[in-house]
Amino acid sequence: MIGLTAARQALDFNELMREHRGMVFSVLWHFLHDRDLAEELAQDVFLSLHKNLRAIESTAHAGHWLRKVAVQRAIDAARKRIRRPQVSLEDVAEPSVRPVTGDPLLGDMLRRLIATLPEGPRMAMILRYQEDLDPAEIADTMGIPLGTVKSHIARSLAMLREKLERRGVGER
Amino acid sequence: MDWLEQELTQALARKQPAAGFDARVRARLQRRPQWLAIAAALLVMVGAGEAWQQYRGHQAKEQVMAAMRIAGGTLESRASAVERRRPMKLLPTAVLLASLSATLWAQQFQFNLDHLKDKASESADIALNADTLGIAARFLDSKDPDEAKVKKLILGIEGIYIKHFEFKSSGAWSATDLDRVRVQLKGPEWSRIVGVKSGDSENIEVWMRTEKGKVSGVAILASEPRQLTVANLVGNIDIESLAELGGHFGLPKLQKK
Repeated sequence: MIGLTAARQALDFNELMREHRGMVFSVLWHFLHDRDLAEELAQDVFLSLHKNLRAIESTAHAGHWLRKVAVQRAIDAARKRIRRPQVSLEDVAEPSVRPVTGDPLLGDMLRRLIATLPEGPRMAMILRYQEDLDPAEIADTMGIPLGTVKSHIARSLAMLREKLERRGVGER
Repeated sequence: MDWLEQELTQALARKQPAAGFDARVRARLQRRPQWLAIAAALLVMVGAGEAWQQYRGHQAKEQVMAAMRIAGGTLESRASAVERRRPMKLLPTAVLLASLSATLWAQQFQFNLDHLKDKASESADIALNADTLGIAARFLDSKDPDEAKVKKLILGIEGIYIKHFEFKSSGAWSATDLDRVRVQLKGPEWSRIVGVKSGDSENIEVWMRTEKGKVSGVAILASEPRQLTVANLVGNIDIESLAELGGHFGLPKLQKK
C-alpha cells in the first residue's frame, strides 16, 4: 500500500513538473535575467513541491502553489544579489535599427527594460503578461494590495511607452 | 489590449528550461539526504519483533543504497567533467565517504568539516557501521543488478562514512579544509592511487590503506567550487567489487590498469 502511494506520488510529481516547469522557469528567468540561476531556483521550487506533495489537492492547486513559491524565490534571490538591478537602464542599448512591432529586437528590448524595473512592478508585469493573471490574482500571488498592483502596472506601462517612444518605437 | 500589451505578451511568453530539466530535478531528489536523519532516528528507537526487524533491515538497505547513490553522483559529476576522456584508474569508484560521528572509533581519519554544515545549502552525513551494513546485506536483493554489486562489496566492509556538502556559491570551503584531512593520510599505510586535477576547480584524490598486504580502507577527497565530498570506506575491501560498480549508480565504467 505504501509502495503504491509512493508510486502514484512519483507519477503525479513528474506530470506536474512537465506541466508547470515552463511557468516556473519563465517567472524566474524573466525576473532575474540569469538563465543558470533561474534553472537552479526552478529546481529548488520543484524540490519544495515534492516535499509538500501531500498538501497539494489538484493540478490547479499545484500551479497556484508553484507560482507563489517561484515568485517568492525570485524576489528573495534578487534581494541577495549584490548588484540590483542586474541590467541597468544604461545597459539597454539604443538599437541601430528601429525595431518594429512583432520584431524579436523589440521583444528583447522590452525584456531588458522590464529587468530595470524595481522588484514589485517587475514581478507584477511578468505575472500580468507572462501568466495573463488579472490584478486581483497578481495581488493574491504576490501578497500585496490590489491597488498597489494596479499602480505598478499602470506606471510600468507608462514608463515603457516613454522609453520606447524615445527610441522611436510606437504604434503602427 | 493595445499594441504595447500585445508586444509584452509575446516578449514575456513562457520558455522551457534547458533539455533534461526533469532528470536533473529527479537526480537531486535521489541525492537528498534529509530522510537519512529520520531513518537514523527510527533505527535507534527501541523496538522488538519481526516487523521491527524487517523494517530495520529495509531501512539499513536503503541507507546503504542511498550512500552509494550520493557518492556515485559525486564521482559521476566529476568523472564527466574531469576524466571522461581518459580511463580512470582502478579505484575512483570507491565512492564511499566519511564523517565525524558517534562511531568515530571506526573511522580511519577525522573529517573536521562540521563547520561547513551551516554554510552548505545541502549536506549528507552518513555513518554506517558493521552492524547496519550486516543487516542491509541480508535485505539486498541478489537478483537486482545494482543491489547485487553492493551486496558483494559490503561483505568485508566495516564502515561507510560520508560527508558531502553542496554550496550555493563558490568560496564556502577552503584548501585548508582538505589539507586538514590530507595530512592524516601521510602515514606509510596510506598511498594515493588516483589524483586527478582539472585546472583549479575540480579534483579527485583516492587513497588506499593497506595492512599486511591487504586493503583495509579507502579515502576519497573530491572537490569542486561548490561541492566538497570526503569519504572513508573501512574494512577488507574487495577491489574487484569496487571496480565492478562502474556502470552502476551513475558511475562511469572503469578500466583497470
